[in-house]
Amino acid sequence: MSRQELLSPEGLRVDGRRANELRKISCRASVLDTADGSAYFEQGNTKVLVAVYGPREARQKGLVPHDKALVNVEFNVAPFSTSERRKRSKSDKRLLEVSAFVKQTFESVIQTHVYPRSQINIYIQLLQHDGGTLEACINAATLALVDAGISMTDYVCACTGGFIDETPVLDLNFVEESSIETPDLTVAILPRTGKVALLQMESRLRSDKLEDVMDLAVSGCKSIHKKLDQAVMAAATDLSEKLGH
Amino acid sequence: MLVARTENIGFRRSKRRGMTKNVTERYIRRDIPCGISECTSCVRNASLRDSGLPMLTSTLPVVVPDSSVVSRYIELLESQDSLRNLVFCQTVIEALDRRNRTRTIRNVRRIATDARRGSAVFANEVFAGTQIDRMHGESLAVRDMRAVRSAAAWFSQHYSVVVIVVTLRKVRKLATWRLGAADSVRVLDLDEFLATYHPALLDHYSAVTEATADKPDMDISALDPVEFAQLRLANKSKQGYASYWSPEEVAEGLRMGTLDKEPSGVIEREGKPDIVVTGRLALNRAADGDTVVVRVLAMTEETPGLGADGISEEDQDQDDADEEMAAELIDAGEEMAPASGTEKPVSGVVWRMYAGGAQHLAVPVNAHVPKIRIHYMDAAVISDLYFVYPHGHFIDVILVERQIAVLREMPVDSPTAPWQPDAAELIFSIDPKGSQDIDDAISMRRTEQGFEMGVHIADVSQFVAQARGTTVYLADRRFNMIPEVLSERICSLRGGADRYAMSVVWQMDSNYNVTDTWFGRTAQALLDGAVSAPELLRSSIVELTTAMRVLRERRRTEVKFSFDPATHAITELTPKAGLEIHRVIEEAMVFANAAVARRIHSVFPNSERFERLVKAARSRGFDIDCSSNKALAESLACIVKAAESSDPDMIFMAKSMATLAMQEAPAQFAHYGLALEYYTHFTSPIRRYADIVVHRQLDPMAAGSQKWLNRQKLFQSRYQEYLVADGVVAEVRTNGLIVYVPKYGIRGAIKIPLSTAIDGCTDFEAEADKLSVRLPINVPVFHLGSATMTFAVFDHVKVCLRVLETRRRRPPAAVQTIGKQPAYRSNVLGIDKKLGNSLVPVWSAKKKEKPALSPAAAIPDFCSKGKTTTEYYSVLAKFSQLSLLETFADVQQIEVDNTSTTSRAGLK
Repeated sequence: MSRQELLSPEGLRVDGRRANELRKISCRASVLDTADGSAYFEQGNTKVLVAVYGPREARQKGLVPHDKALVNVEFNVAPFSTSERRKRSKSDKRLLEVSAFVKQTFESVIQTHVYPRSQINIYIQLLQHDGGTLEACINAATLALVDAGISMTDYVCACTGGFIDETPVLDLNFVEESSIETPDLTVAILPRTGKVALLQMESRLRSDKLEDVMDLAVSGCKSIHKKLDQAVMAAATDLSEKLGH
Repeated sequence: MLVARTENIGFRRSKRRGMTKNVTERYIRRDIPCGISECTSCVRNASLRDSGLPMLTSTLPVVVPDSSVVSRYIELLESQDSLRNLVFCQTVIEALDRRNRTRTIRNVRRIATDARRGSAVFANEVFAGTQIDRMHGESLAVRDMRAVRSAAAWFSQHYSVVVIVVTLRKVRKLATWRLGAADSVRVLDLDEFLATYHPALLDHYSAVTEATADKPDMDISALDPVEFAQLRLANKSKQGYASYWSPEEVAEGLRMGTLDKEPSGVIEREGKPDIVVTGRLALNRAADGDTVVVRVLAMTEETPGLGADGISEEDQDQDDADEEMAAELIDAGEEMAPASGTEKPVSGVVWRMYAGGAQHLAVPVNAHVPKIRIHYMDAAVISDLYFVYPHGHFIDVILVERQIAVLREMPVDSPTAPWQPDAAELIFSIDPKGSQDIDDAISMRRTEQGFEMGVHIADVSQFVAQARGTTVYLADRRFNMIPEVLSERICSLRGGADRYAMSVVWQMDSNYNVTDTWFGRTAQALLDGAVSAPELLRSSIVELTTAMRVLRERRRTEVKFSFDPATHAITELTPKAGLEIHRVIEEAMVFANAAVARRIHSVFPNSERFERLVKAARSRGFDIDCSSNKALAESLACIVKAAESSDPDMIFMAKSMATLAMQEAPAQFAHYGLALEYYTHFTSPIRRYADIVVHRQLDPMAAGSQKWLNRQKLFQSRYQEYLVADGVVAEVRTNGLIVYVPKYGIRGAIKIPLSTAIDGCTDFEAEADKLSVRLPINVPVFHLGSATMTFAVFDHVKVCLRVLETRRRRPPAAVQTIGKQPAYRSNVLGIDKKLGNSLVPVWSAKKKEKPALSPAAAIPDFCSKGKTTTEYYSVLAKFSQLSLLETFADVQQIEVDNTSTTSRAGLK
């Protein structure tokens, strides 16, 4: 409710959600024609556009391993994405960190050995920022990779969890995220197997509470998985209609 | 359950970022419970009940205060337990939050979590049934009012319950719309509401109204955020300091003689009257020790802080105020004051934090140094504090600054020139080998007149923060009162090391009669006696031993007990070797303790309390016999018997006064075992906290100034602005009253300006203890029958408390405002009762202004007889059960303060 009160005694958060509720998610695959695969993903007020190019012949052949594909991630934040208009340089450490996390996550999920000596480029553009950047990027990239038809072992679904006033909370928005005391845990799982692809936390959390927060985040990942699945189905239906089947 | 999603769009202007647009989303839902305990249709009510939050009841009307009421009358809402079944809308909390009224929000939350109050916060902004959007062209304040009424309307439709929206008259005019069905909701002004449902609270209401009348920003609803920001800005610009004059102007002024170049503070000039520079603004950023240029102002009556008043408001250092001239500082630039540009370490206590822990405010121990703001983490600059405090940076956990009297030059100890102890400078300690925490050392030397003997005690008090109080001993370990680094290293007076000490030095003649005693802070270089110079020590020790033998003989009445070990069940006892030298040390310490006790008692000569008690009791026709404990107890019992039914407060006061008086009974200072008239604990500060307290008391005396710390943390943390409370007149002075507020255990002085006291306050009778006050001419008092009011000891008054703005670490509470209370007064003035509500029973509680007597002082309302004061009693009863002792301790503390005020300002 108020800025001091991230979670009111009545159990409501600043934006009217309860502790275990996700923000509104809407997503769509195949939004760009020129890219091999693309997706637009909204989680509350966080909006991300992802374009995937590849697999294609590698530019710098020397860098590419001979038996698998190279995953290349570029993350960009639009200057208009925050309330304060600010241009960020490409070497901004925060941006590089996010792209490194996304790359790390997908390298293990994409079946890179299917595409030897080639390169897969994932371009992520953050259009609007309201907390949970990393989770939105990973979810959107999953959708775009599926759209591009790149073989993966599973979806990757990410969600954040936090801990406010002794209560685990799901899907932090910008206000909650920027409070100093709130730990911000991003979990990415492979929903079919339940394997954890990424686990990353900022700030500190009591170790005995980690499991609670993680359980909540994983439950969030599962509902995000349903949303992504629906988007994939919608895109596939759309495509089959276009093909006249 | 989320049914819709809206976006709140707001704009924010900040110094760093300029205008930014903030967009926050908000999810609207249906599952918000109403919180009425009888309601079964709200499913979520069950979980609300489980969470332990209080529930509303449908048997009482549901009262919905709007933001104007909450922001201005929160103190009334919080303090009165009879106001129940309140519903605070989320709209109100958000409006408060927009104005950064964190403390008010906290108060609201406190009400809403108090089980006795049965009140709740209703999340109307996220509830589909009550949420409304701002209409085109509608001001935020009006939208908020509409939102509150929409919530109230929902309540009345949802459950058959009486719903009352409480608002303020001036805000009500803004509401031009009609809400259709919502008209079933009753909208009442706060005074109407109180008059109908809680007539007993009307006094309190009018007191708060008066106290907040000159604070337009208290009521957040009347102003738009933009207006509000402008108001804040306007207030802030007033706070800014005047810029320093240019060097050319200063040089010109000095040449012409219109300016003076002096050190800051109260400026003493030989041959010319002193200059006093009062107030932060006039001081214009100068700090202690700076050389400044001042312009002497014309002497006017309005000059703040001046005048030979009995109770000085601003500063207690104005003894001869009438001779002083006011001045303002116009330059403290670096050219004029090389010292101000240099950094110097200052010791202080971190007092407050700002901006989520990034900003700290350090309060220096030395009261002459202003508070220092410290950046701890990189965070946004707090703009409204920008001017007020100087910047500092954090050096170490303990930052040390001291005022040291150099007894002798500190010796130089370097590898090339190792320090050789000189027979004349021997300072040594005698302790068992391997002792770590050595807190005492002795010096003895021959002078022309006889001897100089010194006892030097480790100076712990400067290192110890007050939060750490005592050493805790557990079965298997010990938590030291002070950290080991202090107790065993920095403070411990170890051989060969330079240490700070608190010293007592006696000059004695050859017959060991003390001719002069000196107290003070010293820096000591200690001789490692056992190793380096036994032959030098020997002569000193011999002299010391002789001296001590004489001194011990002098207090011959010492009684010794010796026990026969055989009669005790102890099988093995290893007695400490009874060396004579141990006795010598003991004797020196006893001597030092006695000297310190005598000195402290001489500076705190508060032996007037029995007289006050007797005088006060006599004013009510009782005699108190203080000749012995028994007689006193009997006298008190007599009072209790006589006044039990009529005036319990008076009994309470009399008892508390007696308790205070007992504490100072002279016998308290004596030590029968040692046969000393005065005795205290001074010599073991490392081990005993009491000794540190004694050190602190001795320190200002040794430094030659009197500074006192007030301990009213509780008061300060709870009440930011003001507080109306019931008090009892404890003493009557020529120009004011001392009022005791039993609820908080606070005593404070109320100064009555001379112009309002009758005939220049000559109407003071020592016997009757009464003070008459003439009401100001501009007050329409003709129908009161009398233009004066009389205050006597034990009169009940209403007082307005607020925290004084001072540089002290804990600003003392000021009891500022009075109105008279009806209870137990037999000789009330015959006054028209109807006048009550229109006149307000407080004086204007404006900061920094002297309390001007306003219509309030007429207080006809309080004089109406037969009014119940149950709340007051319940508070009193609680109070007496719970914390009698603690409160007395507090009172004692404050009392000391008052005494100093009184004696120094010549009130008596």
